[in-house]
Amino acid sequence: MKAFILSLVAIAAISVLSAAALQLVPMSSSDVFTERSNVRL
Amino acid sequence: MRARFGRAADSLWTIAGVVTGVALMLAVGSFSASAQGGPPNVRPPGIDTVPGGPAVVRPERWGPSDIEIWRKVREGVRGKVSIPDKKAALLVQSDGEAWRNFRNGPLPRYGAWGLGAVIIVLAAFFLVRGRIAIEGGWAGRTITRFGDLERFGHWLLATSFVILALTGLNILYGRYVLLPVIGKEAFATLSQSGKWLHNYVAFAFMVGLVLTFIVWVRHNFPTFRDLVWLAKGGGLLVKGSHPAAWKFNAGQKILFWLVMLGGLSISLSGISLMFPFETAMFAKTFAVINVFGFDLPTNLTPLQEMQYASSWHAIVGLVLVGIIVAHIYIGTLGMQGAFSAMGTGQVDVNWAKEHHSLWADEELKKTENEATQAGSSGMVPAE
Repeated sequence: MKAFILSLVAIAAISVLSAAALQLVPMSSSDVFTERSNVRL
Repeated sequence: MRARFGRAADSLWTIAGVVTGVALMLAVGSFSASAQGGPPNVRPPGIDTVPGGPAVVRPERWGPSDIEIWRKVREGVRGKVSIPDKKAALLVQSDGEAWRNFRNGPLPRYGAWGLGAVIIVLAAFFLVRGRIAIEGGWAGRTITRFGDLERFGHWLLATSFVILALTGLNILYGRYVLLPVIGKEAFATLSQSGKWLHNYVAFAFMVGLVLTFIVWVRHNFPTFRDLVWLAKGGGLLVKGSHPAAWKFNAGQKILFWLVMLGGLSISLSGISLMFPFETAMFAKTFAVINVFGFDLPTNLTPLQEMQYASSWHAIVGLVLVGIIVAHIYIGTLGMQGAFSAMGTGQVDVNWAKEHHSLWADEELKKTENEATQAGSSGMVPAE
């Protein structure tokens, strides 16, 4: 039971870390192609 | 007199205005026609009009270049663009329609049939075979089956997979199952949250995959015993039959490799979907597969890569869900004494002797040797 509870804590921790890290990188085509540096008028 | 002259002047101005307006309209119309390189009153090419009737398209008046251009566009020929998004050079991507049809047709349909078949087979197996009991009864003594790290890795992988499976199944089937029940707004909120949860928990799944691979891979290489175990159907079909096995029997080894390879594949395709148009894993994979005589396309566009990744991710996910449903069944309802292996880490000695006899003998000998050494050195067991 202890291993299961610990695994839940680990999932929560890894997910929060992933969410924070993924904010720093573009994750969709709209992110990639709407950056200001990519826009040419 | 003055009033009459005024009215006549008004009429003249009105007539002059109308004439000027008509003249201007004619002039503008004439100029427009001239600007298009044709004489005035030229109809659009290929279109005839019948007074009072609809326009009639006459294909022979279309230039051959128009037909050729649109045929090529429909076939997916790429043009040139100067903007950063090079995908915009492709006006019509026919593969997108094929992908969409597959995504909304055969994929969910056959997926549902497959999952339904797994549940039906398990239910039939349970009805015929019943719960596989410990034939020697509970021994009352236990031995350690899985240590803390093994169970932690298992639950990390298992729990994250359940979250991924539920959120993934919602993406595929939610609109048919949940939407009519909970309504559009609740379904939209749930699906959006589920999508983010799917993205984030995926990394916990990958950590669990790596961890379980490290702790269990040495027990999962195939041996001759596995062939015997498979030949006897693992003893699942006949009562009293217990083919010998080490820590993992052949069925568990197959499960291990399916989870590892399937988990790796679904992780890679998931990363490909998470960071769109950044990877080209399918073109490279197809090139490797073609070495064995296949003729799979290796010159894939970024869009085709995404479409393959999406379909493959869903297929592998559905297969893994089916496999894990069977695994959960045999680890809980299907076999007496099995769940405690992952619950407390301890299993009954008789259960161990029946299902993993070679491993149990080895573990019991170790325990006896440790007890003997402790006795000879004057140590007293804790209990």
